[in-house]
Amino acid sequence: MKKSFINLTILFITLAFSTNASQERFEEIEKRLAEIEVKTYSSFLNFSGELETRYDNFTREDKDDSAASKNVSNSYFSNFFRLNLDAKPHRDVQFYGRLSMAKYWNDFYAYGNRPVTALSGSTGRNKTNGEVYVERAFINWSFAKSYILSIGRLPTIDGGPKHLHLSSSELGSYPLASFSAIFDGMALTKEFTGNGWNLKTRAIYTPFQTPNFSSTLEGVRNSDGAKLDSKSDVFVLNIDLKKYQMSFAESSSTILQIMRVNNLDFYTVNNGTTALGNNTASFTTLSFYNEFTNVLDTNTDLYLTYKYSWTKSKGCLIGSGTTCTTGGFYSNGPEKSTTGYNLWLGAKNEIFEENYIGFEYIYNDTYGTTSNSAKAEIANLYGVTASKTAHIFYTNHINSALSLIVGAYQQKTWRTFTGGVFTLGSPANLKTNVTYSRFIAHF
Amino acid sequence: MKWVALAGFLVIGANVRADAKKSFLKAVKLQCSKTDKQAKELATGGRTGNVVKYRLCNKGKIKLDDTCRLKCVDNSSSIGD
Repeated sequence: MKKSFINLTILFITLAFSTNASQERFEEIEKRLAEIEVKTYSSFLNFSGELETRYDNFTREDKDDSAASKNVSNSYFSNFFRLNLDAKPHRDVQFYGRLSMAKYWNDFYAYGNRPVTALSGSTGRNKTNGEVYVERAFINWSFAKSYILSIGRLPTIDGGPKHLHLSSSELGSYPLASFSAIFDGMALTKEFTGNGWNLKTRAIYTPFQTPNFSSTLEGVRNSDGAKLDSKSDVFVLNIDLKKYQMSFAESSSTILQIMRVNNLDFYTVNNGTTALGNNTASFTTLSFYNEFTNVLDTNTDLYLTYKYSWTKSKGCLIGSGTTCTTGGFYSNGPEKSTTGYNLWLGAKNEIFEENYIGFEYIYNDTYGTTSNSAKAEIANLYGVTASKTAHIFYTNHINSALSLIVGAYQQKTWRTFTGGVFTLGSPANLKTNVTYSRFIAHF
Repeated sequence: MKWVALAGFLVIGANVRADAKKSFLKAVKLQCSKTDKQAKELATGGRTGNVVKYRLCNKGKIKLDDTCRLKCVDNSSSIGD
């Protein structure tokens, strides 16, 4: 009896000590786990990315001018690196970012001026010298059930139809025809979902600003001493409808976008000698993008995009004395209003598993505004006004990590602008031929 | 130490997977008109499972079964998710 009592006491004491040790150990683990949780939820970043090498070969022929400087050919290798990051620091807050680099291979020696590296609309896409830039950085904040506020450097480049070449998901929110430049700004999105459809309406504000880096507070004055606006309002309404399981197609993507740019001032951009005041432009564009996938169960995707633009230009960009030599945004002189359109269409077919061929036709009217400042190709495929282009491509997803795209396009240009997008020049007869190959690693 | 590391991985993994699975289920129900139950059956786990395939998709679409081919969405390229 006595022996049993002693044994029982020892057992209780052992258990008590054991429980205390386990409790301490548990508390220690809980404390360390809490630290990991805090770190995970507060700063955890996911990474992914792409490394693209491309080779471009082009020739340009001027049918009206046999001068060597007008008939050129060249080829280049270049590298593009894109590092994507995302984080969810709160249940209602999502962050997305992308750091980008673009450069020619081994350009130890280069002639002329390197691209303006700080050019806002295409940082990370201008082939500079290996620098990494912030291409996108924005948050989505969900509130009041289905409203989302986005603010930062937004994903406004690489919109449809660019994803068709890569045969990937959509790469940007704006239709490419509307405007392809990286915009800083804010957006309010409201989402509606039904049976087999999803609709997003977005109101977006991305003002252009013209700081004076010599005197930020003073702002900018023209040569007559007049103070210029440092801000130009840009408003966008974007309606994005996705439909699935349709009778004639697997899915459709339709985007309607209206964009209004008010009094965009070009004086400081070109910094020309002016005696005639600054050149400002206002324009409105209405863009439509529509895409159907797997039409009639043929593994064929089709797209069509159309844009109509209205521009109104004031003042002169560059003058001599009282004569304006360059002025007029998408027009043939200062103080003009013009209208123009762009019509693009294309098709892509999956010829066998993960192998695609595609075709595009791109028509840009003489006064059809274009923007493709974040382009990777050596001769602008989409962003040349007064041109028509035929483009063919072949895409192969070699495996889940590697893709190969080869293509060719021919572009005919019938007018050029003497100052980039100012003052319509005399008729032209240019033919540009490009072949390219892109090898992309996804990681 | 092993316990702490394992718990840490589980916490991180669960956090990422929870969002990925939620996105996957939403996409399957929207695009393929599947019920909750059917969508969950398609949400297979593991490295070669559908949830991870959808999360890492860079080909534009993935085939789940004969009645459902899912169009991939890159949320980082979409204003307002």
